[in-house]
Amino acid sequence: MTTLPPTSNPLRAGVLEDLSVDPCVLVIFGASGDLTGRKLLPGVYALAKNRMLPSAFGLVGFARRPMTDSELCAKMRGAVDKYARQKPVDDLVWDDLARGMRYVQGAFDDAAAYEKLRVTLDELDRQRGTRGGRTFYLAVPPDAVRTIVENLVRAGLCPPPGTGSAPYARVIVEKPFGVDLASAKQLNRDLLGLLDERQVFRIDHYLGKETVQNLLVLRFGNTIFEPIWNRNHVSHVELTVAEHIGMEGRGKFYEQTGLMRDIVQNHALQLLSLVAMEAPVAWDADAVRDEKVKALRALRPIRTAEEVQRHAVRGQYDGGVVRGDAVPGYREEPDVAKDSSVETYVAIAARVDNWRWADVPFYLRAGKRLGKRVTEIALHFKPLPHPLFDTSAMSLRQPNSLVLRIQPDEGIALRFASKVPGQGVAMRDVAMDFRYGTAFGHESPEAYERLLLDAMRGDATLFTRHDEVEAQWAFVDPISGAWREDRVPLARYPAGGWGPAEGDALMQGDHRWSKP
Amino acid sequence: MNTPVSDALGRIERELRALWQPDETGNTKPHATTLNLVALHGQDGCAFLETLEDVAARLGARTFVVNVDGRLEPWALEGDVSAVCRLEPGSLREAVCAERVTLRFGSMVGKRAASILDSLVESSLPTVVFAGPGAPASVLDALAGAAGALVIDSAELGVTRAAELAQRQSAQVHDLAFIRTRRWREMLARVFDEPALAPALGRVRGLRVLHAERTEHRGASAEAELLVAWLGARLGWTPGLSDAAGQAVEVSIESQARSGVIPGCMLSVALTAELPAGRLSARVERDADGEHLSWTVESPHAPTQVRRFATPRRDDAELVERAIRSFQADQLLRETLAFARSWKAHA
Ligand SMILES: NC(=O)c1ccc[n+]([C@@H]2O[C@H](COP(=O)([O-])OP(=O)(O)OC[C@H]3O[C@@H](n4cnc5c(N)ncnc54)[C@H](OP(=O)(O)O)[C@@H]3O)[C@@H](O)[C@H]2O)c1
Repeated sequence: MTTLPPTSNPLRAGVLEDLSVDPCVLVIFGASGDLTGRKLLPGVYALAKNRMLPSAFGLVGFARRPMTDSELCAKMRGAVDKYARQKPVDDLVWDDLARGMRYVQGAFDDAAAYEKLRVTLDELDRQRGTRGGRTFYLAVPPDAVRTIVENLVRAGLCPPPGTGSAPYARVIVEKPFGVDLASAKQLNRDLLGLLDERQVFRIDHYLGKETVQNLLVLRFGNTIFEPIWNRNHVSHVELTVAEHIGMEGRGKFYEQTGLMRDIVQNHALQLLSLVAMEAPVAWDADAVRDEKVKALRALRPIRTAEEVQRHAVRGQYDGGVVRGDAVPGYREEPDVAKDSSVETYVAIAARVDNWRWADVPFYLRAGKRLGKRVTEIALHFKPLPHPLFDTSAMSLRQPNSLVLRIQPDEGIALRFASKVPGQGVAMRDVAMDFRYGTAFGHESPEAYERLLLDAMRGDATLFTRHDEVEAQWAFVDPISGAWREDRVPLARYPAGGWGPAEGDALMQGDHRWSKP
Repeated sequence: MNTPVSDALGRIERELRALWQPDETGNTKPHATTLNLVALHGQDGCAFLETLEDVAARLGARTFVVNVDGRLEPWALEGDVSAVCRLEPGSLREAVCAERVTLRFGSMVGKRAASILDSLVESSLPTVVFAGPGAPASVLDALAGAAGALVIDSAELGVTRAAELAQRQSAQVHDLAFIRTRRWREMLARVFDEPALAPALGRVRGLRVLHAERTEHRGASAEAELLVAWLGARLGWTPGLSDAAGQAVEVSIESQARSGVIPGCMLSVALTAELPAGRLSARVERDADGEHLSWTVESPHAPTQVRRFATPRRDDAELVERAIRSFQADQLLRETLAFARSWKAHA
């Protein structure tokens, strides 16, 4: 039976309000894994609890270990009890979700398992009214992605848009998306040989964060910021993605990955492109991503060993004290080589070569075991052209900055100079601080909630497009290459500080890293 | 010369300004205001006030609790200002505070409510008027005109009065009774998502709505009436309840005593319609536990389908909050109220 889009039903008009997801089954590959329990199921539950899911909804878990439907439900309930944002878990909401939950056991390369999956999906369509809508979430190791998509396509479960009887089939792919430019290109070729780009949702959970989206609203939903958002007024931009935790048992993963691939290539460059991009012509997936790609392509390449040495710093933490606790250095972490040269800190002085940003340094730093967990973007505005008042304090010569805090305490702060009350004209810098949690009295939804919802709705604005991923790799690849060949020294920093001194030396003139 | 009203107003303004002054230790309370919420109620507003408190805390609103008190001198204005603080979960630290102003008007002052509130609201923020039970009509009319949004409950006001208000206001209107029918509307809409059943929309023959008996009010429940009116408006029925082809639609609204269900709340909806191949019958019913809805569809096109859905317990504060936050156009409600009005006039 063919299906009509729900909007052609006159009773649907206005009723959908916030229930704008079409009927859908979410199929999670890797359903017994860590990501599913920690993020995906709590996300699905929160959507259900806040009535953002359609009433025709089903969930299928796919993994290798044997499990029954009810064992999957029990496992998922345990995870939701532990990780849900809103506790205690509402039994009514959960029971309704659980009634639509199924498990399919199989290996990713086992064609028979996809046959079982198809039968399960058809059954759910009949029982839950999900009408053929499919979202496949690949919460699996990167090398399994191709195999799964091939099998889905072979089994006819993922037809291109506009063909076949299913209204839609989409695939969400987790990071890392490749390990370098060549592998990312290969993965894109593989995927786009099997699927349409409109079906592929490459997740970078940073884009699901409220403040990241708010950055776009701040820039393009207001009139006062955009006129000063350029080289005429901004002296430099700072981007910080800092974590205070170390390896937390992920030493083996880090030895293969390093911070550049784990954080800079994706999250940090996402933030940079959102700050640097031009206004999109519309709020839609392609228009927004076109502009982000343009900004990434305008990044001045850092290619030769000499350029890498001058504009980038890699570091690795030694033992130190973090939040009052003595912690070991990276090389003392479990599963880490005693002579490892893997970076746990990266700082880059980047340039965006276009009319808007010529000569404005974009300083980017990211690291593990830094002073605290904070992600923020700071735009520092130019110094006063001529001081009228006593500006002996450095901060008063360059009084204005706009700080966008992504985590924790999502918010925005504007720093400006103000007169100290009294007879004279003494100035002090003050901050106008806006925190989401406080102003809206609402917890922001978790990034995964938003992204799951968007993927189910088919809105790819907050997902990374193929050319965007490639532009990100194209920028970081040569830097990583020089590091891998050990042509640039590895700086050391004590855990709990703000990174190596070499990171400070990247800053030009009187620019300084601000203390977040 | 100062009048008692302007004196009282001056005092309230001073108290409002003083609220966020630093205390002896130099600390100020963290505060945030995102809108003005003007709540109007009659004498018996206890449950309403609880709801309101909850809403104000969720929204970070400067709240005005307004009523007309017949025991006051006609020209008296009494008011209190306080800070209402939300605590950080699991601690006694104040997370964020907002202002609350309680205003009691003498009978004459009520007429000037709009001007008084005008000087007390945070003028750069939107103002939402929330009409609670027993809200005095004249004050509601006066304030509604100046508000950006109006939250009413036709279960309190009656559908006809709600329709009048909606017709008169250019402000966004939200009706809690209508919002409460959302789940039911969604369930009915689902029936016709199936393309084979969609043609039945033009040939509805019967609609039977059952609601929990109301003890205090006579007549049908607003929710039941709004559900009928919504279908009528959406499907282009006439006020005399015939469909576009002139065929009559048999509509009945009945009530039944049911413990554990709030009086006036919907218990079931049954719809019958004609299809070329036979009869369609769809039923949405509240289960005996009051916490689930069963959805049953019988048609010549498929085996009988039965589904059960959890239906959240009614939480008025959440409804109001959702209404205020929603940026949805209220066209659907306006259409529905307009239909309800002409249908009731016709009857
Ligand atoms: N965990 C996180 O917080 C996080 C954050 C960001 C991105 N990611 C990415 O998300 C992906 C999944 O991460 P994870 O931490 O959830 O991994 P994980 O805990 O190792 O889980 C892997 C899952 O895949 C299944 N699986 C593996 N090989 C299979 C095969 N050949 N056939 C069938 N099932 C197979 C496993 O099933 P069995 O256990 O039943 O064998 C398990 O359910 C990775 O790409 C990771 O980089 C994870």
